[in-house]
Amino acid sequence: MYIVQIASECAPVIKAGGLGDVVYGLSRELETRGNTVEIILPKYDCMRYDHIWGLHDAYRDLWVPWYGAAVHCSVYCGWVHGQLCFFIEPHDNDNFFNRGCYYGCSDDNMRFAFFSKAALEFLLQSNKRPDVIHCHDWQTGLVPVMLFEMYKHHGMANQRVCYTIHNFKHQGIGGVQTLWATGLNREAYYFQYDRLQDNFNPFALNFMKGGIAYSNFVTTVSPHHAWEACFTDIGYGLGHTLHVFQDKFRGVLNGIDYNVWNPEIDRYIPHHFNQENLEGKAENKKALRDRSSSVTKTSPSSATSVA
Amino acid sequence: MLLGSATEASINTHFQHEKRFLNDNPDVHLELGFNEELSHLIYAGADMIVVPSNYEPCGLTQMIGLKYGTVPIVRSVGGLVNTVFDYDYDQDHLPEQRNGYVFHQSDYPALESAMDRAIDLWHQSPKEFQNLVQQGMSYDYSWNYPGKDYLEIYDYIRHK
Repeated sequence: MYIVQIASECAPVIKAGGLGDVVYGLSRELETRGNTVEIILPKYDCMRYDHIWGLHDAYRDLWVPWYGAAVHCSVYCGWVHGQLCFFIEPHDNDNFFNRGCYYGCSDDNMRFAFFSKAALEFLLQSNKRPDVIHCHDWQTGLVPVMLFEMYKHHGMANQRVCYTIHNFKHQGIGGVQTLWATGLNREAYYFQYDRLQDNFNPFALNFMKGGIAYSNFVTTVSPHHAWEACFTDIGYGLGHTLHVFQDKFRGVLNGIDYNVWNPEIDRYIPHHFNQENLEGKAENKKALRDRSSSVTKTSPSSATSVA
Repeated sequence: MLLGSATEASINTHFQHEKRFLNDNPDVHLELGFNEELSHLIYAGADMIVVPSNYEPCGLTQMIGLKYGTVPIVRSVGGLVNTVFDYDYDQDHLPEQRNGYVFHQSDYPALESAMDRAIDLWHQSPKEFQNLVQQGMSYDYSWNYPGKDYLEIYDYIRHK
C-alpha cells in the first residue's frame, strides 16, 4: 500500500509534542510491514536540520493557487532516520514557515491552510496518487475538505483519508478568509452545521470539524480517549460531531519506540535487564540511589511524572 | 524521585519552592528541568511510577514504565485506562494479566490508597510484587499492534 502522511511535525526533526513521535513511529512501522510511506511537512526555518540526511530539491516550481493568484514554492526531500520526507517551502512575503517557531503565530490558521493546500497541490502536480492520505490534528483538517471538494475533480478521485486527532483542545477556529485564500470560496455552503461551521460560534470555521466530517475514517490516540471526547467536555465542543460520525470514529492506542525504550539495549542505563533476569534492575536502583544520594536502602522507590 | 518541567512558569516556581523545602529529606529527590539520561535511569531503577494525570489522551510514561518493569500507579483517564489494569480490582482481566494500580478520583485519598496497596505488596509479598513486574513487562506496547490496527483501517476505507 502507498501511504502519504501530511503533518505539521515529525520527530526528531520537528517535534513540539506527541504528534511528532506518532508520525515517525507509525510511518516506520508501516514500512516495516512492507508499505511505502512518504511524509509531507512544512520547511520550517527552526527545525533540526542535523536530523535530515541528504536534503535536496525534489520539485522546484510548485505553484500553489492562493487568493486567486499563485504562490511559488519549492519542495525539498530528505531522509529523517530512514523515513522519506518532503518539505514544502513557499517563496513569498508572508514567510509562513520562517518564523523561528512551529506554532503560536497570529495567522496560524492561514499558515496551515496554506500548508494543507500546498501538500495536495504537490501530490497532484508530481503525479503522486497514494492509496491513503493520513493527516493529523487541526493543522491538516482542511486536507480532506479540499481533497473531496476540489482535488477529486482534478484527478484525485481514488484517494482515501484517515484523520487522527491527538489533541482536541486546538481545533483551528477562525474566520472566513481561509475559504477565499484556499479557493474553497462558497461561504454559505461551508458555513453549515454539518460542514465546517463551529458548533458554538456560528460565525467561525472549525478546521478540525471539517477534518472529522470529510475524512473516511477518524481516529484518536486511545479507545478511552475516544469515549471521553464523545461524552465528556474533553471533546472541547466536538462531542456532538463525533457522535454524528461515530461509525467512522475509533480510538487506536499509540505505540512507543522499543528501539529507544528497551531495558535490554538502552544505552543510557548502566545495567541491562529483561523479563527473565531482573538483577540488572536492582543494580540500576542502586545507581539511581547513588546518583540522587538518598540513603534509605530498605524502602521501595517510586517516581512521579509531571506532565 | 521527581523529574520534570512545566511550560507554565508558576508551576515551575512552585516546584522550586518544594525542592528547597525538601532539600535535606533523605527520602525525596526532586530534579527540575529536562534530563534524558536521568529519565531512562529512573524508569530502569524505580519500582513504581505514579501517573496522577487529569488529562492524558494516550500517555507514554505508563507504557515505558511497564517495559522497564516499573509498576504504574495511574488515574483512570484516557489511554491509561486502556493500558494499566488494577492488580486487585480489575474486572476484565485475569489476575495473571494485571499489571499495575488504578485509582479514580482526583484527590489525595484516592492516590494514597492506590500507592498504599502497591507499597504493601512490595513489603509483604516481594514474590508477588515481582510477578506483577514481570506480568507488566510481558505486554507489547510497541508500534506492532497500532501498525496493524491502522493497516486494517486503511484497508477498510480503501474497499468501502
